[in-house]
Amino acid sequence: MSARMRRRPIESLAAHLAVIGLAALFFLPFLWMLVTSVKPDNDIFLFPPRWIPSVWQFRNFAAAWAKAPFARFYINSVVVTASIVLIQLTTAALAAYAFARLRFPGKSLLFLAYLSVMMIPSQVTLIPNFITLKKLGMLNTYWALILPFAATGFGTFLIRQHFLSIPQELLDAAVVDGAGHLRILWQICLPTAKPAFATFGLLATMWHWNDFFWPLIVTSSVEMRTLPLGLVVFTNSEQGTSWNLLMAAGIFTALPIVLLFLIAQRHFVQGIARVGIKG
Amino acid sequence: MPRPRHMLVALLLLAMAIPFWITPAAAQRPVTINIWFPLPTGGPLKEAMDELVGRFNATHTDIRVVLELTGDYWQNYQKLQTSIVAGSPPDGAMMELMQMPEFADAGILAPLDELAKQRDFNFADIYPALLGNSYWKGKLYAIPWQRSTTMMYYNVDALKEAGLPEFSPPQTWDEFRRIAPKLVQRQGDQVMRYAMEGDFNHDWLYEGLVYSFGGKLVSDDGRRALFSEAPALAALTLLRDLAKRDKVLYVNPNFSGIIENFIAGRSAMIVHSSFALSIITNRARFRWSVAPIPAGPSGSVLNAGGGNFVLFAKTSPERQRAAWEFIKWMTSPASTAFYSMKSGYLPLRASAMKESQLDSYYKQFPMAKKSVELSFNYGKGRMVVLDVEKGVRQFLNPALEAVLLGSADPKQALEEATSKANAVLGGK
Amino acid sequence: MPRVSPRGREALTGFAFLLPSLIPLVVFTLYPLANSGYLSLVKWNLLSPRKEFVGVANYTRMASDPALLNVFTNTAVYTVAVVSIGIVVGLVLALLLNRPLWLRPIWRGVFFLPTVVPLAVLSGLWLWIYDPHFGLMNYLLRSIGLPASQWLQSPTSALWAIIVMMIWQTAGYNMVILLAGLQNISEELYEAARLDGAGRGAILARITVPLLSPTLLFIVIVTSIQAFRVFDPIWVMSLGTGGPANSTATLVFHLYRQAFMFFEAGYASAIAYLVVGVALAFTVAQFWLSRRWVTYE
Repeated sequence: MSARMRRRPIESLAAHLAVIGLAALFFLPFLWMLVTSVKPDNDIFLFPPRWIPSVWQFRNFAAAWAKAPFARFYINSVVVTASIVLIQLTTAALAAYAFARLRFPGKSLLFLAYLSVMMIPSQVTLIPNFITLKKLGMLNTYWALILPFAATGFGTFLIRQHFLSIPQELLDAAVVDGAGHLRILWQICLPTAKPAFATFGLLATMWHWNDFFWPLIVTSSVEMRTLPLGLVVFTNSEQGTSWNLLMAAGIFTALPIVLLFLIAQRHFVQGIARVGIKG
Repeated sequence: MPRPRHMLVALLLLAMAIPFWITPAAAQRPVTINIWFPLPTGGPLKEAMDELVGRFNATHTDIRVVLELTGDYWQNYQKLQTSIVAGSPPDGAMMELMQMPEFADAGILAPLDELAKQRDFNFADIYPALLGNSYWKGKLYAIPWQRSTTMMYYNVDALKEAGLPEFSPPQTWDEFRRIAPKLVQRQGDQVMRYAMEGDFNHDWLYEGLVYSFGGKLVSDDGRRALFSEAPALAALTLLRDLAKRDKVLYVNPNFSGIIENFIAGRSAMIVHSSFALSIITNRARFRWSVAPIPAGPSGSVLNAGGGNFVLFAKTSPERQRAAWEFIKWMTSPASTAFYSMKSGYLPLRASAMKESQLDSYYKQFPMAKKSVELSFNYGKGRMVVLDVEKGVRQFLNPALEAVLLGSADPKQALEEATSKANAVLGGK
Repeated sequence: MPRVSPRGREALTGFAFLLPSLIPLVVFTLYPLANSGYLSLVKWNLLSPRKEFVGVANYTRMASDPALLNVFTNTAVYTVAVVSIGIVVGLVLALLLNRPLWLRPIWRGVFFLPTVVPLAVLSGLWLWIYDPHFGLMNYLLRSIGLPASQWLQSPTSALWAIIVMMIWQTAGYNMVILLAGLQNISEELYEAARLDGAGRGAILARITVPLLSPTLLFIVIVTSIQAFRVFDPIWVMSLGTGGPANSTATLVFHLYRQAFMFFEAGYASAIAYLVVGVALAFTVAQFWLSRRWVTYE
């Protein structure tokens, strides 16, 4: 218990009650997901719903894993997502610095162009990008899954907002020291905006990890498919949805992101030694 | 720069490779054809297809079929459109049958009449209802493959419980209306079991119903919408009354949810696809059976849907012949019997029913045989319309939903939909 | 070597920093946008090579498309609801979790969970939760004595059912972004305010919100754009129909339908420009307004 908690016990209690209540509400669908994932087939369609499985059937996870080449899908998802996120973090940090801290002609217009990445419906870019990648001979390769996402409007915008809140004095001091822009970015801006990087990295990982449509269009062989495409095995309406296996597969698909969240959350919450001079 | 000795070795190796490269190509390199198939990358249907393709490739050394799995019908459709616009469609594909006219009319698909004639394809043996959606403007474009019809499943135990004769489900809608209240179970204001459930808001079931009322949805030339004519109106009014007034029918738009509700005993009867049979066989823990959908004034109709094989016009004649060879082999009695047994889809030919593998399978699962016989006795082909999404579904399906799930008046909703549809269909 | 002025050098550095993202941006975003600008001026059925120039006909057609008003209204309702309620929920969560709490990392994790589960799993789960007769939602509502709803199966409630699901799904996402923003506010400012005797409301209004304003601006813009071009949740929850009775069809759903189901590539491109145009106008307006309410340190 921290000092502040002890200082205002009633307020702290109220906050706890609120959080627990909200968390229960948010968690309910997942509880159902977890319970369903270990149910035997016969338990699934009962009404009223059954919260405790008649048998805890943990082998559903192994059964789901064996239904499609999930090991291969996992490797593909890791390679593709990690590449995209690393590339995006790099390009976004550079662009965000330019937009936040440098003067050059056409800046506002260029910034709007970056934001437009978020605005254009993916249905519009689908066919032109498919044709571009076909011309580049990249269909059904990792490149097709990675390159179209090298620039990020969202990431550039988010990091720019954080760079803008860095006190000018801090940067001026570095300029006086004769530091170049790349060094200022690396030594001052990056550490100060660490929460923004952690947040963006996490969100980008999640989006690209779960991306379904683009990998479906540009991959043709099973070897190039990613995890979300594997889930279709369980939802194909022609074969009936295997709810328990789908939930089990959903859990092992989402697990890496949940773990990443647990690691990353240290970086975007208060209470940790703050980097930089500010604060 | 590589050292001269390495260059020499490389050149030597290259020279040695040349004969290997040239000779087999000239003699007997198999023609590789790509076929897109709307299946996920795992599961029993995929295994059945892999088995069939493996057998074909083993027995046809001059042809190599590569199956590309494209998920489901919708994902398959998306991928096809993208690849067509990019100018690189596969050699062949399986396609949801309602999608064929668009592609045939645009010249994307290869007409198959010549191939069928040259390689004497036996049409007489294929069930006529399954060939209904194969032709566009008098030419053959599609060969049936993964086909099913609508079907009624009923819970025998539920009928017995309600004091009804166990194995005689209602044969007409009048009879259904009479017995339905006995099948409904309520707990307070909550319905615990419906008499019947189905996605009647969708044009597949609805079209079948309109057929059984003696009408159709679109005129034969595909230029006039007929939703506001008496049979269509009578069918929708019946559904509305059963769902809204009598509250015995559950119109559930969630196609897979319907099977689950049946298995869980929440509906005494469902109208679904004949492919649901295998799921119900595996999961239902009560006695059940299949029957024709209750009849209207023109009898009972089971509407035939599913996917057909098509070939693409861009493919070279040599590859088209190879792909045709594959289609012909796949639709042979032995192959279609095998796929039917593994997948739950219909065997396409009368002669397939006599295959020994199917015969012994039917001995084990008599219900499968009964369902196939029903499909063939009551089956009917669907409308063949260009612009079916733009001209028919765009207006008809929302109208059905507005009546069955909302509170719109059937006559008004159908009349509005008809005039909008005619503006699109008639304008061509 | 010619001498470059400091101004010129800064500009050059700026462009150099932009280059790695500018190249993919041009190839994979701006080129397709320009391409669809051209397509919006032609009549093209997507399948044939024939494209007929029709001038602005695709744009004037929007005025007489009765479906467009419906999808625009649906999109507006969805956007306003998801953005406003979503940000409030996210802010409440972030403020609650930015204070010392027992088991804090766990609560944060729970709120973030909905964002990480693939839509393929979520949609199946929520379709069942929303089943009006046998689903979890009505079961729970009935068990605490509240009236049940038809949820996705009625034209009057379907859009709201999707809105509820999406607020649940995106709250954790808003929460982490706002938490990162709260991190930028120094604890000393709070301490100083407390020593000055400021109440909780005053601290929220005078310190938290102003100092969080760059992040809030970001969230308002980003979630609005995302909500405005919503497609995937609509597609999966309405089972590809935008129904019942078009009640959940949104602008981008309409665009998709025109292009890939009705084969009206030209008209679909014109709708795409409408989507981008409205989003752009909204964004520019927000930036302009933000000069009044956003404070940078």
